[in-house]
Amino acid sequence: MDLDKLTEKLLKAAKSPADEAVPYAFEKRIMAHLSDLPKPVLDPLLFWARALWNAVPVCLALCLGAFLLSEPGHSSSTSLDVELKNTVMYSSEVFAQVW
Amino acid sequence: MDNHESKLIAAILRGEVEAFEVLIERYQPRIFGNARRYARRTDEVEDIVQEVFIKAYQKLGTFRGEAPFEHWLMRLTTRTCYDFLRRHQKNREHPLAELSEDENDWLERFAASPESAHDEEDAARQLVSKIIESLNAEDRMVITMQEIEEKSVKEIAQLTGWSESKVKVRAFRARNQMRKILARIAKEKFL
Repeated sequence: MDLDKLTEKLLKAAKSPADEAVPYAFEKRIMAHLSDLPKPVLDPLLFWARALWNAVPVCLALCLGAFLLSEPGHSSSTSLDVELKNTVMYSSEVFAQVW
Repeated sequence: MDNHESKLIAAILRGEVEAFEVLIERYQPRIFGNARRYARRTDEVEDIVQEVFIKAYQKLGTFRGEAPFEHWLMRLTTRTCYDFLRRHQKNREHPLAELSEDENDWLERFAASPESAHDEEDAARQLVSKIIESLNAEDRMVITMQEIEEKSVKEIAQLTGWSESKVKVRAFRARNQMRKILARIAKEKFL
C-alpha cells in the first residue's frame, strides 16, 4: 500500500470549512459569568512602558538640539586628553608622596 | 486596529463591562469554528469558547493595541485549544481501537485501487479524524493548522508562539507520525 498517497488522500479528506455555528444567546451566558469577575484595568507597568516608549523620540530630539546648540567651534578632545592624563598622573603622584 | 474596536476596549477598561458583549458577538463564530477543530463534544467546545472570552476579559488590560485585537484574541484561542488538548491527552480513549465497517471498506478499496477510494467520502473523513485525534497535542495542532486550515509556517508560529523552525520540525514529525499510524493499520489489516 502506498502510505504517502494514502496520507495525502486522507489529509485532503480532512479539509473542510470550519463550523462556526453559535448556540443561541451564548454571549449572554458569558456576560453572566463576567459579572462575578473583577473588572479589567489597564496594567500600570504597561502604562509606564508606553509612556516611556513615547518619550524616546522627544528625548532624542532634545539631545540632538542640545548637541547642536553647544559651542560648535570648540574642540574638547584635546582638553579631555589632558584632563584624563592629569587625573591618572595625579593619583600616581599622590601614591608616591605617601610612600 | 479599527477605531470602533479601540473605543470599545477603552470603554471596557473604564468599567463599561457591557461593551464586551459587542466583542463577543463579533468574534464568537470564529472561536467556535476553531474550538470545533480540537473538541468534538458540544460541552467541551462551549467550555473552550467560554474560557477564551473569560481570559480575554481578564487580560484585556495587558492588550497593547499595537497589533489588531483579532490577532491577540486568536493567539489566546490557539493557546486555550492547545491547553485543552494537553489536558485531555491522558484520559482520552484510544480512538483507533476500532475502525467502523465503512472505514475498513474504504481502506480495502484504497489498497485494491487507490483511485476507487475517493477523498470526499464520509468514511475517509471519519478515518482521518480518528488518526488526527490519536496524535499528541503539538502534532495535532500543527497538522490541523497547516493541512486543514492551510495556514503558513509564519502564521502558525505567530499563533502558537513557537519559532518557525520548530513549526517546520513539528509538521514534519506530525506527518511522519500519521504515516506510522497508517502503516500500523495497514499491517494489522492486510498482513
